[in-house]
Amino acid sequence: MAQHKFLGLMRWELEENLSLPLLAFLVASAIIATLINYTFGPPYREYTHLYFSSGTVFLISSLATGAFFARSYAGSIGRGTTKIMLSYPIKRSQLFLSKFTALFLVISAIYLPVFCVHVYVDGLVAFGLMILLSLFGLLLQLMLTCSVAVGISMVTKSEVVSILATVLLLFGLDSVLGMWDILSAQGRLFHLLQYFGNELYDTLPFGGRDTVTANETMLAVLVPIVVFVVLIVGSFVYFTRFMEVD
Amino acid sequence: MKCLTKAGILLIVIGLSFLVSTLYRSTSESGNFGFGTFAAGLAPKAWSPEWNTSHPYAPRFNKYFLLPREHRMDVKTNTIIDVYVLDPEGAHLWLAEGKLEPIVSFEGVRQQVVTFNIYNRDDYSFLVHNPSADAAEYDLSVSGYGIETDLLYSSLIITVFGAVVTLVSFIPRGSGRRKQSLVNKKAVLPAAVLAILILSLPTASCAAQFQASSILAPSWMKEGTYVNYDFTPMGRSYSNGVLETSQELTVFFLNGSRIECRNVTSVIFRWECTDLKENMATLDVSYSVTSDLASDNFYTSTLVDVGIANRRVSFQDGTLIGTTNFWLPSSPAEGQEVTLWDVPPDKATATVKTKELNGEDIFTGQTLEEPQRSFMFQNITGTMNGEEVNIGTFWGGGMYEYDTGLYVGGPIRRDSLFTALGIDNLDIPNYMTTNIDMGPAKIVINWGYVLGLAAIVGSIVVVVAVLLIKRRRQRR
Repeated sequence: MAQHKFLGLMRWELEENLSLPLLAFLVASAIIATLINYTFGPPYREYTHLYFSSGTVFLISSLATGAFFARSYAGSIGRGTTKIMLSYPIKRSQLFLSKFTALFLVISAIYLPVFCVHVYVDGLVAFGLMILLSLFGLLLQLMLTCSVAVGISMVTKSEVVSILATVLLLFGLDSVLGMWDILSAQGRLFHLLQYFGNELYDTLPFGGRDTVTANETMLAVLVPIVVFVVLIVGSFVYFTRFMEVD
Repeated sequence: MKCLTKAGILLIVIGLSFLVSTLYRSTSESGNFGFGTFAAGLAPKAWSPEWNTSHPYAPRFNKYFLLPREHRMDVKTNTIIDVYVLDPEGAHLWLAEGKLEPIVSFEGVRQQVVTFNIYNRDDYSFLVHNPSADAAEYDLSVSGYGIETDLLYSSLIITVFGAVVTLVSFIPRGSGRRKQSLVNKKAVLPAAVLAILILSLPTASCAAQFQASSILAPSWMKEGTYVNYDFTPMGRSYSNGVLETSQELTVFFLNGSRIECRNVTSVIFRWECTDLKENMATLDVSYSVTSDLASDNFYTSTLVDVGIANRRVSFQDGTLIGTTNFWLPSSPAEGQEVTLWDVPPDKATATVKTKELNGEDIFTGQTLEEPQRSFMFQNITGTMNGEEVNIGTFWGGGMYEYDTGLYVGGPIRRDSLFTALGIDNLDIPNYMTTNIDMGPAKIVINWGYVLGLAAIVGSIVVVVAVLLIKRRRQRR
C-alpha cells in the first residue's frame, strides 16, 4: 500500500513538474549542452575530448537540475501545493522522497545517455572505462546540484530565489576554482580520468599536466558525496520534523 | 494530449536540438593537423610509408580520426608529390599487399590547397609519393570545415520521423459523430509541426587590413641591450605515477659532431649589444650549458656584427653568415612582407600575421611575465643556400613582440646567430629576460574568476536577504 502510494506520488510529481514542455526543454538542453561545447581537439580517438567538452554539460545540467528541483520543492511550498498534499493521508517523508526520486531518476536518465553521444562523435569505445568515469563525474555533479537546490529550497521556500541562489552558487564555485581544481566539476573529472588513466593504461590522458594521487582523486569524489548526504539528510529531517508548511 | 502526439513532439525536439548543435559545430574547424618530411626529405620515386615488402622494420601509418565534413589540405613542397587519402581498409591493403586503393587521390600536387570530402567518421591515413627525380620536402596541413553530414542526416531523420508520428496522431480515429467532431477541430498543432518541418529543411541545407608604418631598424638597440633565452630542458615523464625530470641534453653542432650533457640545470642562449655604430651593432653571442657535473658544462661565445636594419650577420673578419631572425621589423602591418634570408643571390620572404582567425590581435605570454601583442610569419617563399624554402626551413611558428619586433618564443630554426656559434638548432625557449622595454602588457582580467566570485557573494546575499525579510514578516 505504502509502495503504491509512493509510486502514485512519483507519477504525480512527473506530471506536475516534468510534463511535455518542460520535458522537451530538459531533453533539448541535454543534447545541445553535450554537442555544442565542442572544441575540436587533436584528430585522434582521445578520451580527453570528454573532459574538454564537459564544461557546458556541467553548467547547463546544473542550471536545469537546480531549476527543476527548486521548482518542485520550493515552488510547491510557495504555491501551496505541499500544504494541500499534506492534507491527504500522505507522510512528509513519502512526499520528500518521491519528489527526489522522480526528478533525480528522470534528469539522470536524460543527461547520462545523451552524454554517451560522445562515444559516436569522438569515436570512443562504448562502455570503456573512461566513458563510465565521465558518466560517474556527471552523476556526482547532478547529485551535488540537486542536494544544493533542495537545501536552499528548504531554507528560502521561494522558487525564484532557490533557482537563482543554486545556479549562482554552483556557477560561482566552478568559475572561482577553475577547470583543474579538485573541487570544481571539471576538475573532478580531470582527477578521475588522469588517475585511472595512469593506473590502468600506464599513460596520462593529460600528459602535459602533473600526475594526481589516489588521495586527491578520492577527495574529489568524496566531497560531492558528503555534501549530497549532509544536505539531503538535513533537508529530509528538516522537512519531516521541523518545517512549518504555511 | 495523446501519448503518440507527445512522443512525436519529443522526437521533433530531439531532432531540432541535434540540428541546432550540428549547425553550431559547423562554425568550428576540426582536425588542424599537419605532417611533413624531416631532414633529407622523401627520396625520389619513394613512398611514405613504403609498403611492407623487404624492409627490416614494419611500416605504419599515422591514423587521423576525421569527421564527415569537407576537408582542406594545404600542400607545400619543393617539387611535385602525389597524396592519397586511405581509409582503414585502404591503409591495411597498402601495408600488407602494396595495393593502392585510396578514397581520394591528388597527383602532381605542388604548393596548393586541395579539398576532399569524408563521408564516414573513421580513422584515415595519408600516403605520399614522390614521383620526381629530386628529394621532396613537403608539409601537409589538414583541417575540416562545414557541416558534419552524419549528424545532419540523423537530425533530419529524427525530426521528420517525429513530425510524421505527430501528424499520424492527429488522424481521426473512431466513427460517425466522434470522427466528425475530431475533423472539425482546429488543426493548430499539426500546422505548427508542418511549419517546423518545412522551416528545418532549408535551414539544414544552408551551410575578412590595417596599414601601419613599419620600422626596419629597431630603436631599442643600444649598447648594453641584451636578451637571455632559457632553453633548459623541461622534459618530464612518469614512471609508476612518479614524476621524473629529464635533465639530459644533446648539443648538436653544424659540423655533425655532438656532445651529451648530463644533470643539466640551465641552458641559456644570450646575445648582448657591446657596440653600436650607426646601423651596425656588435653582438656578443653566447650559449652556455650548466650542469651539476663540472665535466658536462659547456660554453661557447663569439662576437658578430649585425646590421640592425637588414639583420645581416657577419663575423668580425667580415665573413657574411646570413640573416638573423631574432628580430623582425617592428609594428608590421597584417600581410606585410618581411625578409627572412637575404644573402644574394638567395632571398626568402614571408608575410606577417598579426591577427588570430577570429580577427583578434595575437598575444603571447609564454616566455614573458605578462602577455604582449605579437605577430608571426607565414607564406614563406624564396630560396636559401640555393634551395627553395618552405615552412620547414624556418620552422614557422616563432612569435615576435609587436612593438619591438623582438623574437619572444616559439620555434626558431637555422638562425645565423646559431650558425655563428657553430651550433645547430635549439629547442623552444621556456622564458626570456631582457632589458628591452616592450611597452605596456596586455591587461588580463580573469573575468571567469571575478564573475564567479560575484555569483557566490550574490547567492549568499540573496538567501540571507530572503531569510531576513521572512523573519521580519513573521515578527509582524
